[in-house]
Order: sequence, then structure tokens, then C-alpha cells
Amino acid sequence: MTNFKIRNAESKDVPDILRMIKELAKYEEMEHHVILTEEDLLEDGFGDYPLYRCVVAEVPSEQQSNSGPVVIGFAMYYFTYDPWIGKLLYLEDFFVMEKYRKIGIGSEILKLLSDMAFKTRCNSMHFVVAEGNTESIEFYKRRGAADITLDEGWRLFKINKSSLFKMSSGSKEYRTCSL
Amino acid sequence: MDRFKLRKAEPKDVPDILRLIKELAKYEEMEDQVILTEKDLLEDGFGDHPFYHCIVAEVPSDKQSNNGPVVIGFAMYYFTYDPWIGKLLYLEDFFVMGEYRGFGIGSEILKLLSHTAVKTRCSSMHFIVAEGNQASIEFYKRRGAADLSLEEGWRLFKIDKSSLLKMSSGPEE
Repeated sequence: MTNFKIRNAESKDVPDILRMIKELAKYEEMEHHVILTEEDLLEDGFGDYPLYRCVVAEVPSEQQSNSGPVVIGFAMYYFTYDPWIGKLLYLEDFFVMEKYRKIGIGSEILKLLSDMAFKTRCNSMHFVVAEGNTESIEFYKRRGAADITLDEGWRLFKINKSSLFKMSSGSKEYRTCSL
Repeated sequence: MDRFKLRKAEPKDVPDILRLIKELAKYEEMEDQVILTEKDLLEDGFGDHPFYHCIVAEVPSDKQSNNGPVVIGFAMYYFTYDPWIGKLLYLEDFFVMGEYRGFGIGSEILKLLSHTAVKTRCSSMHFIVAEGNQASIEFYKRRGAADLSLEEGWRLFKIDKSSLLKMSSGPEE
């Protein structure tokens, strides 16, 4: 039986977090899209105002080596806001390395996130799933997840940096404009 | 000539923000779903750690009354994080009262949001739109928006409070 432990990430976990972000991106065939560095993750997650939070799953290392526990899974989340119901917990990334799946690590991570949601007075947890990822969809649906894109017709949009720049040029902080 | 002004919301704007949230919800026929109170909005937006930010649009009041400017539009946003590219600006709510549309207020709000995004080193701005809301979809597409649900197949899911409760204290699998 494999023992595992789920805990809040610390700054020393940043290399492992980036490694797993890249593994998950590779799993989605998008590894070259990861431009974040360890420095970015350190500043953004462990500074005065963290932009994200992480939990990590670790297992004891092989008995032959003298290394400490090995990080083999993570979940990245942050808090968002719904103007009708208030605070939400948003699950951004969630990954367990393949050889450590099916032993309950994912369920334990979700349980911890649910506890966190309650402790911080969140009303719901939101996340996106790719429509082709049937396995993940079923995993979440078994735990009560509802597909609000399907049920309510919400579609996710983005406006990227270059379009933002086009829109912003010439904008002042406070404008007085004529009707 | 009438003019409008955009500015960062202050605690005194909370009653107007809630009023506009309810007007937008009513527009979507969901007014009864708004359970947030002025107290929640004040604590959550103007405490030590704001969970949201707001821009409001105001116009001068009628000459007949002695009241100050009137808030007639708002945008609510916050910062999120993409594990591939970092910080994003997430546009949560965006509304201008019916009689003040068509004057460019929405465009100016978006311009200010874009400026904020660029200034705070965001890589992108994300938001959701209901698939039936053609007017909004076109408004955003004209400004370079891409539909990630359509192009990349992303679907938004939620796990509500009762299911979270089951997961947090339920039996082992």
C-alpha cells in the first residue's frame, strides 16, 4: 500500500509545481505553451498577496535513496467572486502523476479543497474541463458537479494581450467623456 | 451637454453596486438568485483583502435636484491565475443602465479595464457570456475576443455547497 500525505504547498515546492504543470500540459499536448518560470511561481504564489494557492500530494521516497518525500500531485486554486452569492473557490489545475492514480489521492485532494471552501465561506467551487476529457467529467459528476456550460449556456471567452493593448492605448485612469 | 465619468468604486458606492447587480440579474430574469447583501459587498470588496474590484460610471444628476452624480454603470473584476502564463484579469460583471447605452460608456469601461490589465501585467482578460446573448458576443468579438468554449472546448462546471459538504465529510470511497 502506498502512503501519501496532502499538505499546503511551501516555497520549496515551486520546482515540483512547475514540473507537474508541464507534465499536465504535456498530457494535453500543450507543453510549449507553458511560459511561466519558477521565479514567476515563487513571486506570484508566495509573496505578500498570493495570486494562487496550492496543495501538494507527497509519497515517501524509495527506501534505497536518502531523499525526502517526493511530490507526485498538486491542485492549484484561488478565490473568485460571484456578484449573486459571493465568494467562490476556483480550482485552476489538478493533477496526479499517472503511476499514483486510482489510490484515492485525487479524492483526498478534492476533500481537502471542499474543507477549505467551507472554512473560507465559499458558496461553490468552479472549474473548467475540456469537453473531450470524459474521464475527468465523470470523476467530477460522481461528486455532484454540474456542467453549467451545458445546463445554462455559459461560454468562456478571452481577450488576449495584443487586443487588450489595442483597446487600452490612449486610455487615461479617469475619463470624463461627453454623451 | 451631459458627461459621464469613470472611477474606481469606493465603499459609499456599495448600495449602487448592489442595485446594479440586481438590475443585471433582473435583465437575465434571475433577480431572486441575488442573495448578497450590502454588508457582504462592503466586507468582501473594501476590507484588507478585496475579493473583487469595481469601476463605476456616473453622470451628473438632474439640475432640478441637489443630489450629487448618479451611478449608472459598473464593471466588477478580479485577478485570476493561469498556470501556463500567469496573472489574468477576470471580468465578472459588466452593466450599463438601459437609458445610458449607446453613448460609448461600455467601450470606455472596457478600455479602462484593458489599461488596468496591461498595467498590472496580466496576460489576458477572461469572462463568460451566455450563448444566447448575441449583442454582447458581437460587442466583445469586435474587440478581439475569442470564444474558448467553441474553439478549445472548455466547459465551465460547478460543485455547489451541498455537494461540497458531502465531499468534505462524507465516507471514504
